[in-house]
Amino acid sequence: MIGRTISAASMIFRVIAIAIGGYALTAGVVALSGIGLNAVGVPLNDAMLATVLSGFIFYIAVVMWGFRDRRTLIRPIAVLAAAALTMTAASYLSPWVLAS
Amino acid sequence: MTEKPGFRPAMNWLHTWAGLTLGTLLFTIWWMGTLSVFDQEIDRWMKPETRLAPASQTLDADAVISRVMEKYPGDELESFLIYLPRERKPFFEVYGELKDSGRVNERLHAVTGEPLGESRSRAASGFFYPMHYRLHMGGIGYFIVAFATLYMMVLLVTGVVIHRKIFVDFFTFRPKKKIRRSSLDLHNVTGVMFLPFHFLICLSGFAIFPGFYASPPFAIAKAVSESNETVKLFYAASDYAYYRREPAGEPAKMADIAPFVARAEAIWTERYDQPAKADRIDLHHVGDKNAYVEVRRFFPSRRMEAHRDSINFDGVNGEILMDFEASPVGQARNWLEGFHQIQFDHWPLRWFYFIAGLAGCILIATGFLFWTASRMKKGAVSQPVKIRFVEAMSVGSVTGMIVATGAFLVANRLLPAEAAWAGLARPELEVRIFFLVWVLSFVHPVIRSNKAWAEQSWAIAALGVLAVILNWVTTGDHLFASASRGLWSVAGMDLVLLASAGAAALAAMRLQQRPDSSATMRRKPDASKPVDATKPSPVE
Repeated sequence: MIGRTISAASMIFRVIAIAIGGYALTAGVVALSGIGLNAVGVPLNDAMLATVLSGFIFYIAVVMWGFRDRRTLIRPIAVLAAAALTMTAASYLSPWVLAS
Repeated sequence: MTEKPGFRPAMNWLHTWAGLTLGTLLFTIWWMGTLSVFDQEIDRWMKPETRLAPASQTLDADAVISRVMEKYPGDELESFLIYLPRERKPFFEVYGELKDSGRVNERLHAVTGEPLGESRSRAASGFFYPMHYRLHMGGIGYFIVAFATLYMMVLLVTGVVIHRKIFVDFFTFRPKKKIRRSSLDLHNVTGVMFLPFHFLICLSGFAIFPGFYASPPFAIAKAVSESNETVKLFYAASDYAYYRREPAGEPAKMADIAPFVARAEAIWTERYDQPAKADRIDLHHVGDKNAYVEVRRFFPSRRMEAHRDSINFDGVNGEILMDFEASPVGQARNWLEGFHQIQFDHWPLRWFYFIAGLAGCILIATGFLFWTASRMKKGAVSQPVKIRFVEAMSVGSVTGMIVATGAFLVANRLLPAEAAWAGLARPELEVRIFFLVWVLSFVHPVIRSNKAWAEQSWAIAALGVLAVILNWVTTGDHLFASASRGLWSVAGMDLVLLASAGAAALAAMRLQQRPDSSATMRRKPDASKPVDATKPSPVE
């Protein structure tokens, strides 16, 4: 696959999907893990503080993973799908945490 | 765009493109942050009315409070807060809100309590520092800075990944070699040596408003679907230490405030087993039955962490309403925030921050320099416009930013006290001059090509010396005068300006020795295999 040309359009899609989608994925994972920590008894503000601060590191890992292989669009699409999944899951679970 | 497989080339690609596209922004943030390490000292220099000798015995908080309440008697005052004098800021600051929604903003002498007179500059704390975290762009500025910071961390990590000889390069700097080689050496040395600091300073920046930076995806989700309340989870991450209650509407006589400060300090001294001093007092609903007084301690002077210690007293009967103590996770956050805000009193450590900040600036600048120099070397005749563009961007964002800072300082000393033009007051004129010079510094390299590096370095040297001379002429505080009065902020500022001027002159001379691209190619034909000039070369 050496020297395969990547079109500008697919590159723009890739950058947006990973940079912005990765941000959404991070927010989703942070919210979900905050909910999880809260469920095992950590106070909500401590749980969220801990997961938000770790989230910034998680984002770096997402970006590096996303750009690791640029021959296919599997990774950017996976980032977008995971973002949608985690954000939706967090949105369903959060009323339960916020009510308590 | 072509593609080489493998982890390292992929990370190299990411490093190059993130660096090229965000370099200007990153240099701006780093440079302004580095200046903000000495924000108070620059403030003293730019606001001569605050050049006060450090006072050992300051006025009592009570005396200041009664002064403010005398000046705004009766029902006028709604709430106000006082910052107590500190080593680096030797005066009281009073901010207040009047019932008719007017504002109070006063600076009072630490010993006499007299007002210090009007400030005629935004200086470092009002211009450099906000530019560091929000670029003077309002809310969106915070997110642009946060985004750039995330990619600074990506750059640091990918930089390590693409590096082959991390240990050797720790000791390698070949200043006598060609610009391309020595700029890469310098990029590697500053990058490796300060890596832990640079990474932590990026990460700790997020500890200041953690929930705010992380919540936007869910804030957007809420805008789309009203019922999605997940964003509230993130508010919890920023939830600390606020006691609030509404005014009762009945007047009441306020208790003395000084005992509250003493009581709060005694509580903290016992709790942390070290002498504690309050640094801020907030009075809410002054003269109301529901008045309350918040005594705070943000920055313990000899500790890294920024506390959120806050004890709320009933303003009438003195009862403790709330005593906030951070949880263990909150303390970790406090440490990170304090690490970033550097409000501690420790001069060697403050200088280390300054040097590490400058190293970050050099890291970014040499990244740019290496990119253009290596493409010049490869005889990039195929895409000269692209290279000229990057060169103009890098000259403007690196030396241009420093020239603009110098112009800002010189304008501060040159503009007459009552200067106003086109509806702009003096502080705003200084800011406009900064931006005008900065914009021109991007135009200059378009005209002068790679000679602009050296020419702008000469401009920095000239502005640095000029600023020191103008400081002497306009305030009489030459180096020996300010040093003998104990004004080390002013003397230090002059010394740093002279040192920067010297460094800029040396850099200018070094840059002028640089052969232009055609000479490089003639002298040393490239022995390596031909490479596409638009592609970043792997880091050697």
